[in-house]
Amino acid sequence: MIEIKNLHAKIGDKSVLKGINLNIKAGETHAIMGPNGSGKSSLSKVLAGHPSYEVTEGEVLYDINFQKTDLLGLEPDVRAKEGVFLAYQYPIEVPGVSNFNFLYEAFKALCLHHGADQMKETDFRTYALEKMRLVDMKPEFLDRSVNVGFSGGEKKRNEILQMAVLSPRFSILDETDSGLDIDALRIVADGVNKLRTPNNSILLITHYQRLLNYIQPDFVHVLADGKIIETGDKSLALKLEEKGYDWLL
Amino acid sequence: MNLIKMSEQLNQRSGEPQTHAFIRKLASKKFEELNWPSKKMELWRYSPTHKLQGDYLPQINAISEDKKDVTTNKNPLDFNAIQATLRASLKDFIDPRFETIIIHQGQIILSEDSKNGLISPHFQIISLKKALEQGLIDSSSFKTEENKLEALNLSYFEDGYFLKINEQAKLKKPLHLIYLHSSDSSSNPLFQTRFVVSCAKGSEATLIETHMVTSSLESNAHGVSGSSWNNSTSLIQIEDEAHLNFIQWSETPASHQDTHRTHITLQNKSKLHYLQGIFCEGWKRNELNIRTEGSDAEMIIHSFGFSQKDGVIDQPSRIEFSNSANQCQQIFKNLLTDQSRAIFNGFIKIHPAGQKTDCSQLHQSLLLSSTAEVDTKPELEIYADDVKATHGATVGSLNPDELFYFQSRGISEEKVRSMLCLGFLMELCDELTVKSVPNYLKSRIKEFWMKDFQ
Repeated sequence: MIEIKNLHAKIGDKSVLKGINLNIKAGETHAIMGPNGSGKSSLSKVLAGHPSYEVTEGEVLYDINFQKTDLLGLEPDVRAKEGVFLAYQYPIEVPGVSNFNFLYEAFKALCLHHGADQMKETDFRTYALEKMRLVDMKPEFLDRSVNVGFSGGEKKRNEILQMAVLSPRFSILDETDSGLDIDALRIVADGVNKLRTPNNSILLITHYQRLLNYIQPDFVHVLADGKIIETGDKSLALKLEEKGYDWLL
Repeated sequence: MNLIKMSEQLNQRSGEPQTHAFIRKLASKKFEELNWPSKKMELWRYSPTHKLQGDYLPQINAISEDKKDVTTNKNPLDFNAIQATLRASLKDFIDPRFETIIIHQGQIILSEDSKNGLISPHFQIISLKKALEQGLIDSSSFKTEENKLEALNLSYFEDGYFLKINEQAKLKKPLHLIYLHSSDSSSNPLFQTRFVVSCAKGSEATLIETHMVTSSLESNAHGVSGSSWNNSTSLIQIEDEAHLNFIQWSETPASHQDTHRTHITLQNKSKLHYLQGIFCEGWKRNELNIRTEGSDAEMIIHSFGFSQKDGVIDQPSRIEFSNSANQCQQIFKNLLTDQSRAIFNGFIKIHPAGQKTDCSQLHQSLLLSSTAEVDTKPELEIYADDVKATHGATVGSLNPDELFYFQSRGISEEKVRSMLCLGFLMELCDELTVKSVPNYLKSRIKEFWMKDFQ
């Protein structure tokens, strides 16, 4: 699905990624853990195409129509339309733009890109409401401004709602569990699990093992100082929970 | 011909009550006494004052009795036909959920039977002339202050209407008054409407005031060829415990200028939600003067504007708190592109009796081009010690985080920019709690944006 090779990136003068290598196949879920400032969120933003980051070395190959394509050469909106999705650690508030309008425009762009028929506004509302039930969101959130006045948990649910509406092939969940209480975590995780298929892949970024109790990863990686320093199965997360990162650094 | 002479001619018309003549005479005298606004005056420092004298002074002087005037029109109007034509041409503006009244060239267009006004159990709208005759308004509605343009407006004060919302009346439908000005060559290029509103004790109403310019009855608001000047006044009085949602909407095409004054007074425990929407390619000036005449009043004062090409949005605002425990939230937002400009002079004065006043002021501008300009000046004068008063101003471009967030969902950069700009303009509409009005305003904004900007 996606192959990251020797990826180096910087923001301003600061190097944040220093040679990441990662191969994620269709249907796999990978978790990335690591201490604060290790480059986890930077990796997610580089993959999504954030303009503040400059890739200085390496490549990212992404499967598009059974061909390996240079993901870094695509604009952020094209990456998204090709199925790359980033669920934000801190979802942005956008006053004045309704959640419905936002989702509908994103969905229309996706349909247009893939040559699919456009869905009528009324039909899309029905479709979106159905997806909202997946993350236990109240219907009124559809007509409110994007993330404005949402609690931390509601913002995270809204991210997963977007994921559900857009059905991405490769999703990066950046600390989706942060700021969630136990019930909200379960609801969000259930939502994510329902969206998992043999054809899509997930990269989970988290600080805590508890999320991995709900969304079981196939691989766990430890990122430190911009590089992956350890890879294992889900037992690695338990070990990290018990021992911390010191033994690896 | 100077204005005094002209007003004398108007006064000589048969049936003209002496009061009118007196008011007009005083106003025209004041007009002659006062200097034209100039850049030496603080509230006009950044305004294109040359347009007043340079382009329009000859037109003012050229106005004479033989020009079409609402009161001297010799040809009887076919009201039903005009109304049908106007309603057809304004179909995008007319919402069936509102009570719509069209005022064309200063004349209310209803039907032959009600050409002098409309009276319902909850409100009445009649000409200023009739209101004065019937003693419904007094001379306080005709003060010129020290304002030359106000004096100019009062010299023609017949071109106006009086709206009274009756005591304890709760208007179910929003009232929508559409002021339509034609700027074709056969029309008077100077419009002087005057609109007086009285919200009686305990009443509740939503009032939308739309100002539009057309080149003919059949055309819509855009593509206006002739130049014109609308110099109008809205005077609003909100009595004890009355609640008014007041929306002013204007579309000012290039070569048109609109110098408007909005005077609002609030009495005890009254509420005002004011929302102004401006779309401007010409010059739109609205002098907003708000004064409390009682305590415990609540005000939301919002404005959003979009200006393009050489448009100028000019907003002097003066809010005075003369009594205790009044609240006010003021937010003005402008979106500017090309070489357009926005001018904001936000003056707040809290008098010694204004203890426990709680007010905030914010002016936000979004610049979409490097040649757009904003001049913003907040000014607070506080003479009471137990008050809360804040102010702020921001000028910037679109938030890059918002841009990226939307792009990362597959929306193209161009579309995202458009969505964020619309969101910036629409945000304040959602604050209105009256059903149907926010959606109406948003659809108007969207339509304007799609037609003129994209």
